[in-house]
Amino acid sequence: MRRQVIEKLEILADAAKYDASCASSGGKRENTPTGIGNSTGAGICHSYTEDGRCVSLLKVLFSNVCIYDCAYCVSRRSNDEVTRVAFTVDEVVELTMGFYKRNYIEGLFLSSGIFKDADTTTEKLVAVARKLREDHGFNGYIHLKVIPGASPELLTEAGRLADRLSVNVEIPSEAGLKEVAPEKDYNQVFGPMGHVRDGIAEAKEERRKNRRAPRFAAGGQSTQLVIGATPETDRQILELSDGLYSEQKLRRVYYSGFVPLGGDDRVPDPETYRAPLHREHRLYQADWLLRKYGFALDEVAPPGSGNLDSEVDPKTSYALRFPYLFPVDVNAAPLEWLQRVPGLGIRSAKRIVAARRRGVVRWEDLRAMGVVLKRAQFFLTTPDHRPQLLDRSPDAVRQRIVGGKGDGAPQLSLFAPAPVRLATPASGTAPAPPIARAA
Amino acid sequence: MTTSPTTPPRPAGPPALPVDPHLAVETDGTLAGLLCAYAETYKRSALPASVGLIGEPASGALFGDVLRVETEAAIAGRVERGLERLVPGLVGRIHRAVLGERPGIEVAALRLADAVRAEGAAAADDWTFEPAREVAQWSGRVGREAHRMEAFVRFERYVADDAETWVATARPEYHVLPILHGHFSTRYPTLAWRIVDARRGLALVHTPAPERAEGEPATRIVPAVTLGLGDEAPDEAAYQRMWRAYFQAVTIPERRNLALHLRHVPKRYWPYLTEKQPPGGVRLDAGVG
Ligand code: SF4
Repeated sequence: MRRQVIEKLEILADAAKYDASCASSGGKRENTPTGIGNSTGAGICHSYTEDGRCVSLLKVLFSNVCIYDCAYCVSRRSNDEVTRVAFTVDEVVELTMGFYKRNYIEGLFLSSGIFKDADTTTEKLVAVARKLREDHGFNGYIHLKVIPGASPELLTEAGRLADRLSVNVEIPSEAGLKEVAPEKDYNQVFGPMGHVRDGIAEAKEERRKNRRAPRFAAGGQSTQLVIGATPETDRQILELSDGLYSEQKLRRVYYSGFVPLGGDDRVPDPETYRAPLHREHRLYQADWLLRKYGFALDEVAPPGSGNLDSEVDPKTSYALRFPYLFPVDVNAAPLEWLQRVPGLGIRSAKRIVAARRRGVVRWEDLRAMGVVLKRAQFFLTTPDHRPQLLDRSPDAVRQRIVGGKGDGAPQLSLFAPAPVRLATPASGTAPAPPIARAA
Repeated sequence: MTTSPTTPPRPAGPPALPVDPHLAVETDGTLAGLLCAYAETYKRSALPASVGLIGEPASGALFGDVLRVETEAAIAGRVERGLERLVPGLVGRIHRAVLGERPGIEVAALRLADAVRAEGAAAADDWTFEPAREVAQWSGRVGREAHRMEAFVRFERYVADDAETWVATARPEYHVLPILHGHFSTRYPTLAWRIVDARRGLALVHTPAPERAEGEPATRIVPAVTLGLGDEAPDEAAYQRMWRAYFQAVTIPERRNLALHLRHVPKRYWPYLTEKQPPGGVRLDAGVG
């Protein structure tokens, strides 16, 4: 029996791997004394794939049998190259429990090909979640991918059992979607998405009145956009994301660089296509600025701007477009402004504010606070550091940044940024050398 | 190095208590011991230049005075409450920092505690004040190592006389066992599990509630050699194989990126990661103890 399961596991994990989301954060499920598991933390990456992505959840398809024919998907009906298999509900449940107890995973991310219709498929996913919660007292993380077109009743049940729900938009424009996924349209996607959004809002409201009211997808809702299969620009993509955050109240939008599989001429061909690794990475950085740094869409990607600057990170790009807003005085600027300085993160900005309550912050202090001076040096002042270059020539600043190694590549996984607690990699074994303070 | 405890802090002026370069204290090495050391030195109006373990004389320096601090829970509790009132979370930060086992960190912790007492909460987050920065940085390093242990320890199922035990082995860089119990106790409250620190020869052992005597804590830290081990459970190898198969299957080969991979999973963790073992292989010192 095991042999069979291991083969299914290989096939159904392989088919699910292109889904970028692997977050296990945002859950609020506490364990019970007799249960197993919790998902109250900031999310844990239990391992990393050899391509550097976080492995947090057992991420598999229930089945890779699919009646749809989406060109970008390995499980599409017309692909004769794959072996079609399906788990049973018990198999997924046992795998999840066995992996969870060994501390391999934070929980389960279950999705599926549409083997019959949206509801029959969603029912299976819900059955797995129900069995885990009710028969095994499982309080770990469950993320269910809702099948476009699923009925409201099933969504309600799914939301009661899962920590997070997602409906993948996949293609960043409806026209693009119709091109590559003839059976899908935005209605099928946004219908369930809206239902989940309202379910989350209602449950929150109920819990305000009554602490014991049931939770509904407490980890929120997310979606994924496939980048590069269709011709949308970064500006168009970010415009969509911005709307998804503000209107659909999504917790996260994931960007998944298209990996061409060949055999379908509706999408780019593996022979000629270069994976947009860098592009995906810049999109994550821009998305981060929208969500965490209070940037407006037009500041990050001006209307009609096409793709993001590939040479420098979006924050540097912004600073170079608005040089007259800089440099910023480290000892006077409000926190929100410090955070807008390239090379300064939320944490280092807070450290500056904390330190200057007690005295003057000098140039050498900044390094110890985790400021990336290579980039930041052009955009901020201290009593002992007064940069001029930006005033004279923003282009020269760009040259210096691009030429040096300060291109702003964050120390994060390129695909699914790691949960915040791991965002700054441990400096390994050696302590950072102490910085001599100017007396 | 500017870690010399006599460096005058800038810019808020020296903390009320000076460091006496000839004063050394000895404690039992616990957090409570360190908190008591603060109470004791405060009474003497001077901070020590070194904090050592009772019975292990401080090396190198010649100290005129060695003060042996007895740990008293009541005193430690008082100091803890006082500090927490000023800066919530500070005692946890200090605890993590000293678990980094870095020489001199206890002195930094005492200076920080005293600065907070003398000058208020702002001192704790001022990274231009060296003790504050050192404690925060070490707390961060130890916290990250603990977080990695929460992520990377792998339990294996053993059975003896019908009872199962879940055993994990690791070699943490820092002494993180004392801060791992909370996470794993809430995660696996009904399982008998243990985490062995092979570097230090210690094990964090969890006993599920029904098997505990009244008043016995859920976890203890004991020498690893005192623990017996049953037989590997019959399904253990199959789960390990499935996990390795899964790990292989989720990699996108077109995007293999070893540098990035190593940054996330440094080589030193590999000997204890199930997914890094050869097919069918058994971990080198799995279940040591
Ligand atoms: S419906 Fe889903 S599984 Fe089926 S072909 Fe489209 S993307 Fe793939």
